[in-house]
Amino acid sequence: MAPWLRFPVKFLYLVSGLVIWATHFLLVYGLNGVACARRFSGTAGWENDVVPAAVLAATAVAIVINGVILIAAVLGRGPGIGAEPDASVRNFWQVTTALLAGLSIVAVAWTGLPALMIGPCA
Amino acid sequence: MTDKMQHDPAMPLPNGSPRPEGEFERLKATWEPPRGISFVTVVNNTYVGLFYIGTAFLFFVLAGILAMIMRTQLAAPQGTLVSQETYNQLFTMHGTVMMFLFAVPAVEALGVYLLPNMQAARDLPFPRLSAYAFWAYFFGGLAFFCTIFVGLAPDAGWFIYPPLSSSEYSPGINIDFWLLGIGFIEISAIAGAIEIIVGVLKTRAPGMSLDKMPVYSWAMLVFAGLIVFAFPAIILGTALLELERAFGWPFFIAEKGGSPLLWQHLFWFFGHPEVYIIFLPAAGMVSMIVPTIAQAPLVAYRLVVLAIIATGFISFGVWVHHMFTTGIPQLSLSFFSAASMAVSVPSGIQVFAWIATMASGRVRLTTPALFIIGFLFIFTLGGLTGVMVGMVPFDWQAHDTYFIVAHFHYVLIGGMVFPLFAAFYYWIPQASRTRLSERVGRWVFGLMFAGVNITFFPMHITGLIGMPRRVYTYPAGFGWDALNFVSTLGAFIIAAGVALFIFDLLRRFRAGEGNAGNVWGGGTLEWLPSGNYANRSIPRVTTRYPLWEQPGLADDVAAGRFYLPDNPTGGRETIVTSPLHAEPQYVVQMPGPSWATLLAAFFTAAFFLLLTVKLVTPALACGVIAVAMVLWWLWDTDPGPTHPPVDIGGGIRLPVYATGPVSHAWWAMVVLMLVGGTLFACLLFSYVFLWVTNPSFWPAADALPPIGWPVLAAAFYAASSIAIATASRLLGRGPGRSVAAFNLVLFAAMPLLIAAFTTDLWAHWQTGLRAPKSGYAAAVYMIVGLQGFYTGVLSIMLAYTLARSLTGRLNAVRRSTFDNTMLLWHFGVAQGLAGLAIVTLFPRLVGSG
Repeated sequence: MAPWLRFPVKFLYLVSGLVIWATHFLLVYGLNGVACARRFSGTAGWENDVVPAAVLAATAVAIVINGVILIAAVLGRGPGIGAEPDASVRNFWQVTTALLAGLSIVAVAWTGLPALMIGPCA
Repeated sequence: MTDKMQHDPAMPLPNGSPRPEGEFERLKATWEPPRGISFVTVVNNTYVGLFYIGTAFLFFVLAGILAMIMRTQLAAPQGTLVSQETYNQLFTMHGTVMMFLFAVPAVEALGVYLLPNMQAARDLPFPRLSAYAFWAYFFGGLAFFCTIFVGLAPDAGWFIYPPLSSSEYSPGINIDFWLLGIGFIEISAIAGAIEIIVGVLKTRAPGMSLDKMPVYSWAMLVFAGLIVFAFPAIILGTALLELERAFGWPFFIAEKGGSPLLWQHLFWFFGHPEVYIIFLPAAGMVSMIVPTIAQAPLVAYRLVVLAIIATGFISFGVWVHHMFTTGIPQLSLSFFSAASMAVSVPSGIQVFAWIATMASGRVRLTTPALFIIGFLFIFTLGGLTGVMVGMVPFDWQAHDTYFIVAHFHYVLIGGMVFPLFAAFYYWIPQASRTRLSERVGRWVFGLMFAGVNITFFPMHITGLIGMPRRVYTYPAGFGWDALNFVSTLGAFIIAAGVALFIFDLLRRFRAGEGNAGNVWGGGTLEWLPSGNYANRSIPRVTTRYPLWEQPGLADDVAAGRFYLPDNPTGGRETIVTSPLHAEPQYVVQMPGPSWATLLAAFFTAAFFLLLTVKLVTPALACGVIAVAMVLWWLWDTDPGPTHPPVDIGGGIRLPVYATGPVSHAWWAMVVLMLVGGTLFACLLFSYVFLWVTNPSFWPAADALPPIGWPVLAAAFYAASSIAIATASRLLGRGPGRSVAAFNLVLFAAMPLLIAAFTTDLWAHWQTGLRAPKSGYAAAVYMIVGLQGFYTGVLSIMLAYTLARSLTGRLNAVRRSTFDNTMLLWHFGVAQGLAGLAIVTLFPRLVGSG
């Protein structure tokens, strides 16, 4: 890896849990917004079946990805962590990456849960 | 070499002592501020930071006075102190000034002052940029505030929602003052954010790896990141609304295919992160002050850093909680409600970490400690009501009532004003030869704490029993009378506390050479002995609290036994370090005072303000002068390797020049590109949003420009980028015939870029599409217009680069100017291609509405 790329790549890995949260958030909000505004070419009611299922599927996928990031960070895997020569920097990176992924799991789950209870275009 | 150096605290000191005679005097002389009238051109962070903080505090007082007038008006029913029109201006200016002219500049100012000291850098990497940011804010801010005296202040609330703020319902120039007046503040904030990001990542003391970085630096890094990603939304929003008002481009007019809701999305995508833009630096300050008042390291450093980063991210997922009553589908509201709950988790983590730190040590109840305790109490209450209004059904009841006023004042005063006062009391001994009075400080705290609670706690009840916000008076008999009277009483108690603080400040604050020293026993680097030159030498850091855990550090630094105890190039310098481990990379030669910076700021502010009052020609003249001043200031900031590598101590020899990804200038350009990319993303969101809300205005495929036009424009874009890449290769070949070829190829890139833009513009124009016709047309021309803006900026940059080449200031080694131009050029071209693709393909994919 080019030296100047080390920091951006490591930093992106550190916040990857939150990036997953943001992606999931924009996806489900965008999907619901467009589905309700456009009714998918006028097929009324279609969104009531598709949107909750899509939101829950996206939520499950995001939680799984965040879980993988969390486990990888705990095991010391991931861009630059294993090769980090300074133990205190390595430890900081591992713990922070894992905890951010953990927090993101909670945030993603909270975002997705309403799809079980509330109709998309109510 | 440097890795081993940093991680071995047992290594000998880098430089011996006594130091050579005259070395310290030379260092001091280099960093001396100019004297006489030229003093206003000073760029040292210690002076600019203080000017900045002082100006922000002035606006706090001015906006506070507006609040006092409002509270006096509302003290009793049927108040007649001010008219409805004046009251509208008062609450609009109070909110606008507090948010844009006090809160953001105040925390940015404190960063400019503190960060170099805390990271043992001699200054931030772009001192002239800091000075420019300050002066643009100073000139523009004062002129903007003065509109209240002539009845021209904006009057549609600090978020100026259309259609109220449209030219139809607000035909005067009051709203234009908001839209254009905020322009220079946005520029100032972004300039400061770039400075802070590069400063935090590239100018830390050797050894200060990210895990040893002060929490305040982390907070300022995330704060600046929030500005980079949040401010473009409001920049775009203000541009769109001004275009609608001035030229009738109907972005927010529903019957013409626009949407007033688009403004709310853009405003709050900026507006809610804005709350954290204000709060996170305050959290950083608290994280620095609490360990000192408890004389114990911060508990759970990593969790606090995590909380700051998480807050920064999640704050972008809560903007719709300001729009719960706009008719957005309930499931969508639930997503934002969930994010509003999620963001309270990291805030809670920080609060518990601070309480645990206090519990782990012995807290001395000094004035900063009192303000911290007051902050914890008030901010936590504000946070709890925040969770309440984050719940959709509750918000539907409380929306636009005084409950909301109470909530956000608890959050903002608790979360920002109290930490700021704690910071004033805590760090004034670092800036002044005398500290403030402890006895007076306790009175100040007592008055402010009591005043805030007496003012704002009753407002919860006033709101719950139905009093709406923004009313200039109210009838008797609704049960609001006594509560309003108590609130007004409390406001005067706050004012008394602030007045007492100002009295003590005027009595005791003495800036200049020397300070009161480490009066609190702080453990971080800002408490090292310092002067205009910052520290005598730049220390090697092996811990988060160097003054507590590295014995003799202060003496060794002051004796010049650490790095760079002199100025080997003869000018102002600091060490640039790597972002992860803070390994020394090169010594940067920093520019000194310049009139160009001050004049650039003045004419920038003049450009925006003259535009507001429709003096277009003088405004354009000021704009041209401002650009010329910027180019003048930049002319001597790319000096090249004027000196062979220098010895900074410990056997480390560093170059005095760098270009490309190592260079601090390259990092600044990357951050600027992030700002540009975010603005473009917001524009694409607006384009798609208008399709979602008003598809009937979308054209059929046969009404679009034939596909040949965008293909031709794309070819021009690609050719211009290829020309720049070729020029880069020619420049790398060194002197000789390739210089002429370089100049020629470089110049050729400009007409190619202009051709790309004009082709794109003509393609839409010849179909008969006109921006005032519909939201769709306005959005298309906005995308094309943004590319026109880039074309103009890049052409100026290219002409400047060419001028440097023709005057012998550009070569294979001294090429930082070219590299930065090249970076932005490729970015501009990539954005142009993306814009072409969206505008060409999206309507064909979705079809006519």
